[in-house]
Amino acid sequence: MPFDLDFQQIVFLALGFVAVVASIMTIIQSNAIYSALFLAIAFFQLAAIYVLLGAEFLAVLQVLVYTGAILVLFLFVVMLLQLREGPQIGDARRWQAIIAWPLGLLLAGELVAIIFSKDVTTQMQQGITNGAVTVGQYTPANTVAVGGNVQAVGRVLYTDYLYPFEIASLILLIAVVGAIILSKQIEPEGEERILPSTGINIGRTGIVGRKQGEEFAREITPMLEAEHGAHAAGAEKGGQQS
Amino acid sequence: MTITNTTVPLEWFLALSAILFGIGLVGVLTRRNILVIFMSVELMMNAVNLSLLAFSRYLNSMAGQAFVVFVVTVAAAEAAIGLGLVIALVRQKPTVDTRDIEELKD
Repeated sequence: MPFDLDFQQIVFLALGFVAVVASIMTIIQSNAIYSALFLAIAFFQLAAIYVLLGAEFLAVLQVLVYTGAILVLFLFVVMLLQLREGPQIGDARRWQAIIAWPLGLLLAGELVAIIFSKDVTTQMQQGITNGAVTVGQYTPANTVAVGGNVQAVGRVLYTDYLYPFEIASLILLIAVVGAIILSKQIEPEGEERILPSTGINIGRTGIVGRKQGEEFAREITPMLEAEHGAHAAGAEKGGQQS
Repeated sequence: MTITNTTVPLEWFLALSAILFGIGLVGVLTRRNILVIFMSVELMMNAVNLSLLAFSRYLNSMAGQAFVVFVVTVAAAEAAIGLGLVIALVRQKPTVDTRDIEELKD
């Protein structure tokens, strides 16, 4: 069995080996830039494994979003901050690393042992035959029949998962607003900006808030009253009531 | 277009997923650089994505792939917010070492 491998299995083993090695290098590199680059290698291997699994759309998404956006953002921040991590050896809390390594590897080993000892494939087949496991309609042949993997994902995403999809767009909007607010540069004190033609101080942000609005209303009301007489005051009173 | 079934057993994909998850967990527990901790969390998310896609393939269901789309969305949002927090943190105190960030401890 170990030397009776077909082409797909050899490709999987090669990709998986590189992915594991790159992941280990990610967490043992002391320089965060090298960590990010090794993580990019691991993500590319995973994208290739997704192709092996027939998930071409997710493979493209993996390369575009994970390596193209998230990791570039990581590299950007690492290079922006220009901070080096302190030495790993001689650390006062090194006991944590001494405990974490065996525990983490034990967890992975246990999971692998359970996966192989319980024989997931056989159990899944049993579940399918006695009806405990539901099999979807997207067999490879059906996926081709609807036009391919992208079309199949689109069909599921825009019918069964339409509502979660809309919520996902809301999450992205909140993330954009949050990221802008969090990384907004706080300007130094003492800078005052005057709104043109009114002489009102709108402060450092340039945003007219409630305080500025009230100030503006206090200044503008006598002018309006002087200009339009009782007519403007009556209109404002009507506006307040509504 | 040819239709090919994958000949790699499901257990192999799940085992790789478990190993990557374990490596990511060790990274979260051992590292002190908050950016590397973030990267380890991303690695753990990818491990989960791999098992979702493997089950999606072997059960002929597209639900797993739809879940992975959402996981990727949340990962992108998390990275944007997390790195924004790191930048805001570094502006207050120039360090990314979690040992030095203990203002909320006492």
